[in-house]
Amino acid sequence: MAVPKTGFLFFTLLMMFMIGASLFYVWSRIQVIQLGYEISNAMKQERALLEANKKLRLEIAELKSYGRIEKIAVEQLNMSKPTPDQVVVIR
Amino acid sequence: MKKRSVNWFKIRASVIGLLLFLCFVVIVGRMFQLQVLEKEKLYQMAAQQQFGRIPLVPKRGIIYDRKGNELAVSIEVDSVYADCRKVVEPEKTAGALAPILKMDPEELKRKLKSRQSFEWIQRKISPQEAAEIKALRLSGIHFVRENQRFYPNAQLAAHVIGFVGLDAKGLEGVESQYDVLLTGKNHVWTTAKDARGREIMTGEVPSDKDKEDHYRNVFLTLDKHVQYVAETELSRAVQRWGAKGGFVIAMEPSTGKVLALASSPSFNPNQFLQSKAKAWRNRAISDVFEPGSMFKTFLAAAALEENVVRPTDSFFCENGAYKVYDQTIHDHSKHGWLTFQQIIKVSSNIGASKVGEKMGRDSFYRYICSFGFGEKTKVGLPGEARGVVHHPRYWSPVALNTISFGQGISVTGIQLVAALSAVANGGPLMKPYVVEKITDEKGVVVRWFQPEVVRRVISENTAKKLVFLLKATTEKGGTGAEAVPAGYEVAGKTGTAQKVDTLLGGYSEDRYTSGFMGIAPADEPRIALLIVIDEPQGAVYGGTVAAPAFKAICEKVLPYLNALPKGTMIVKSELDSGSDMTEGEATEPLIDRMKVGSVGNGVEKVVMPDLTGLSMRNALSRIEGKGLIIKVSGNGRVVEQTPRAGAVVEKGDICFLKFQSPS
Repeated sequence: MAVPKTGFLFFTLLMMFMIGASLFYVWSRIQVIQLGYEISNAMKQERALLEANKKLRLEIAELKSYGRIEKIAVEQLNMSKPTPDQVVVIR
Repeated sequence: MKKRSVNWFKIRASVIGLLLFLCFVVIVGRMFQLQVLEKEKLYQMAAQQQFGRIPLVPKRGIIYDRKGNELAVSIEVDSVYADCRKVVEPEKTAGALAPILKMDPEELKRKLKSRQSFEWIQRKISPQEAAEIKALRLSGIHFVRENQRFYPNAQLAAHVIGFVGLDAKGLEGVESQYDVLLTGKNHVWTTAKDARGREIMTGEVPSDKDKEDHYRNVFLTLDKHVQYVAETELSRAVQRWGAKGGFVIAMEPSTGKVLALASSPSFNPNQFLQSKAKAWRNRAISDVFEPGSMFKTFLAAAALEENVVRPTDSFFCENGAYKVYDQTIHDHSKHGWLTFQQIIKVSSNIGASKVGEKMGRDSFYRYICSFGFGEKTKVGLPGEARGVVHHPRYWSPVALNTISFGQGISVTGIQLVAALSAVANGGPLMKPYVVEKITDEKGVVVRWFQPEVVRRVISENTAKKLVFLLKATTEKGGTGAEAVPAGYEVAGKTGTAQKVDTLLGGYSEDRYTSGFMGIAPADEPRIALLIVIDEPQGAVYGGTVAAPAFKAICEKVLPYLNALPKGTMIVKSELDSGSDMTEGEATEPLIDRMKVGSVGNGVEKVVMPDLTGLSMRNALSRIEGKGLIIKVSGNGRVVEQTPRAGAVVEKGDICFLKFQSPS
């Protein structure tokens, strides 16, 4: 009686281990796919952010154009070019 | 009973076995068909469904000025297209799209009904338009990202930068010249897709190496500030004189770097199609013109170098009319005997042509070529002209005389500036260039452009003498007196040339090219500047039309290039927190502590102390030993002083002190 019982136990344990291993394998594959989705989303986001950053930089460059600055300085802020004797150079 | 000996079991087994075998054969056959016969086709179909191919638009490099300001950038914008087979209601779709894109609904409807799988609706639309269309969720309407070129400074340096066409190909200027380097690689990014079309990353994440676009960024030698000043002053001069156009070139003489290159009429490269193609032409390098009296500079250079004349040699200027063969050369005003120096100063044509005669054609021609006239400067922009310089063999009998004052020879602006820079430099002719360096997308420099000496044209001694002659031109009584900004010395030459009348032949009576070229500051040149105004109205002389523009540009640019005008107050800052002080508080106490400041390199300059209220003994002891020539008036204590306190003075400057008794 004792011998077949041991065999059965061994068989059961082996089966459980096999099932466990296969489940683990499936779980890991699902994780890989899930991470794949996340990575591709993150990369999409990266591209979008880089592009947004570029657009903002362009806007900065546009706002820094001298024509615009001079216009604002002269028309809105009533500024004018200093005459040479109004200039003090600080070194 | 014998019949029962038939073994049905066996028969059933064989039949079933046969059926199973047939099934197996069918399955194997089908497998063979799918796996072998139609393998390619099916494999492709699967790949199409499973893998998304995202075409990444080739990026285009950025164009910067020398200080790293962006002059041309690319950003991704949406282009909208239709898959017409999937458009459900063309009428409704067209009706919804037309107002957003400001298109004709009928034309749009026709496009949508075309049954094509790909039809552009509109390319490069604005982000707002794209968002509005996306919100409509129209079936069959899709977007693709395309790169759009933007020029944030609008028309600034438009002629140097150029522009790109709709298909991202450079068409003018640097965009065209460096198109191959600026354009990135066409990329396709492959990703796996699931049944619902979502992207999944599988396998390797694309490494940085795969993502490299291999585009290059271009750094120009132009300076945004200098360019802006040049353009504003040029357009002001063109407007003031009702001229047809004009151009300005500013160059750093010691290196050949082009700091500014402006041409009028200008255009906005963001909407280059809205301006006439004529406005795209870069006049400074593509137009040839007769330099007129400006060319006397190079006659003088040749004559001084060959030792055929000295500045003090006198020539008889025929009282304004000089007959050579069948032609008469005129001066703007009548002159008798003039020294060579005066000839340059008052710009006498007769004097110049006599110097030319003394010089001889072959020798003069050698110098003309040596200064780079008649050949391209290879400045690195498309469409450069070489000018017209004939060999003396083909010169008419009067050509030597006329070329001496700049008629009968055609040059480009860039040639003139380069040649003038050679004079400013003390002899070596530098190759002008507009691109300083090229970097890859990570900012690593892949190519530096170094200053290049083409050849030495004249000796340093000759150059010095010539600068001295040219300084006289801008002094009182010289033709270029209006070119001098306060506090600087300028060496330059005016030029006024009659334009060739293409219809009637010969020279036009009322159409002129007026110009001024000069170097400033004369003794330590930071900039060589040429201004040419095409067909000014009302006045024609270069000294009246172009010289004031030269002055205006120098006034704004020289302090920026660290060449301060004489008399500038320099304060040595010993406080880092000086920024939050008011101006008065900040300067007053500092002036007392002022040290000897030096402006530019080499020349030691001194800051004028505040002497007010001091006795004569004290005042004199404070400024003696500084090499000033001191003139005093009155007695008592100092009540007035020129230069005022804080001004920078040089050895040999005159200092006036006015004293008054305190009674």
